[in-house]
Amino acid sequence: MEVLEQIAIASSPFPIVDLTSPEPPTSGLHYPRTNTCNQKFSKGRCREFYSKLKTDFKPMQCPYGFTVWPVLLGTKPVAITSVIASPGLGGDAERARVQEFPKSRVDPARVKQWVDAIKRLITNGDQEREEEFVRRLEALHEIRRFNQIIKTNMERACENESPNDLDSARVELVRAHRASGLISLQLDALDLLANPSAAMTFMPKRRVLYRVVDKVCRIYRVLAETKGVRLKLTGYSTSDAQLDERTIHIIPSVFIDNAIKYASESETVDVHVKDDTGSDGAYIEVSVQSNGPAATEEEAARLFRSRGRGEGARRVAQGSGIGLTLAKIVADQHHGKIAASQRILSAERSEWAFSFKVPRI
Amino acid sequence: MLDDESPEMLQDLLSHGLAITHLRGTDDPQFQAVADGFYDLVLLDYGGVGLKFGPDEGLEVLRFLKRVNPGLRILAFTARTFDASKADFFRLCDDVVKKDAGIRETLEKIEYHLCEVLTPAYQFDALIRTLGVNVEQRQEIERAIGKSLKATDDREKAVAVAKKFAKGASAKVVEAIVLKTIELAVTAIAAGA
Repeated sequence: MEVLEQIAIASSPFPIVDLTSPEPPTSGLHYPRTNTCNQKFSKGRCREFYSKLKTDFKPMQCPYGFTVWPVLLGTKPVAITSVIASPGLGGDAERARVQEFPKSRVDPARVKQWVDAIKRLITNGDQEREEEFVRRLEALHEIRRFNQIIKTNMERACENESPNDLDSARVELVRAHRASGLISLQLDALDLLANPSAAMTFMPKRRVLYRVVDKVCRIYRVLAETKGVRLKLTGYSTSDAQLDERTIHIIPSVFIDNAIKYASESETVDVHVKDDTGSDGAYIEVSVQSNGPAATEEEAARLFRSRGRGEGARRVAQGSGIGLTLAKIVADQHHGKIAASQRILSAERSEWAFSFKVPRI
Repeated sequence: MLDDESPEMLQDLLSHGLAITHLRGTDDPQFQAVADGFYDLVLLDYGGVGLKFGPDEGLEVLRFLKRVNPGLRILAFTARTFDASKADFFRLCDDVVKKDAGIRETLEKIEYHLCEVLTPAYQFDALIRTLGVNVEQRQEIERAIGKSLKATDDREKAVAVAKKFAKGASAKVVEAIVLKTIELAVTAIAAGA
């Protein structure tokens, strides 16, 4: 739920029910939830009633005579309830509630005033966030434009020295060229982070996955060397898969980036690509194996699900903890499978294997 | 290359043997040649290139070019790879080349698409899509092009046959595609393909 919607519900003067999963109303700041709601909600009629409401702000009565205004606050469907409109909607149940809870009578105009004010606040907040988002995105694009200049010039310099194999040019040039490649990869990840829904516009092309992995390995070799870690690419595959070239490299990048980050000096990061066949048919698998900080079972279970890092990972290196979430977005986009496993080596270290499987054509 | 900025790698691409014209926008008089089928591939930026086409600039230009010349390969050439508001632009383009892709990667993509586009079969298919003809008309055009492969004089006849079915399609685009189809077929035959 958005922050503004959460604030609106928490600070509502009236009791509110969340219509996405109806529970007894939360008490309002000025109108507390009545005892009737406390007693009757668990009986089942209320839950059934709230789960069928449409958020058209038409006042109606709950099964026990309270007035209910179902409304959409931002993206959140809620119902203002546990109060009695004055003038009311009529009926014996309502009359009984008025006698029981005279202080729960409310002028419908005040309810409307509050709802309108909250809706305005949410709309304005959304607009501000949108503008801020566009500003940040524009900064990313500017960096990419500058990176174009760096990469082209470094590529030129490497090509002048070693036309057949850029990586055989002077080490300083190769490092600068590959560093620019790293910036591109990080920008792609940031771009995707800013627009995760855009990844759902899947633009697949028939491509060889091995080539993507090989390129990413070449780019990360510089980082690995700086850290004294050996980055090894083994296996081979000439198979095609339906790949979105805007995003696919994010998966091996995240795997390799994490592996190098958490490996100790002189350890090896093993990247392996292979063709295989499983119960779901033929696939290509990229796996990255390396040693890193151990994670608790709970931490391991939410590796791809939520942003954040384990305690052990936080102790070893800095990071945003967003990489694997992005990798999962890209894996889902490609109808692929992403997985992680660890073999505990000591209290603090584990052998990790991250893998991604995508259907082979 | 349709880009309001000067791409850093332009000179490098030229030195690799590509014939490239850099236009800063659709106001450039040379833009008409793009629409007329003179080029095989367009690298198209989104912003600042086609204000007269509408607020969606690159997307409007893309739609226009695809409408008048469906066989033209158009690659998005942009720094904005995941801008949700530009989703249609990326979806309708044939591929995406990021502005910081580097010389080799850009070259690789261009060559990949040129290899696909520069075949008689692709061009003939593009011609049929442009004209929207039925099976009999298609066969008539096919026969005319077939004859022109043997005698250079028949090229104009082949163009005339295709133009006969042009209806709403641009005569210049039709002529360009027919001649490209013939040239590529002649080259392929000479190479023994």
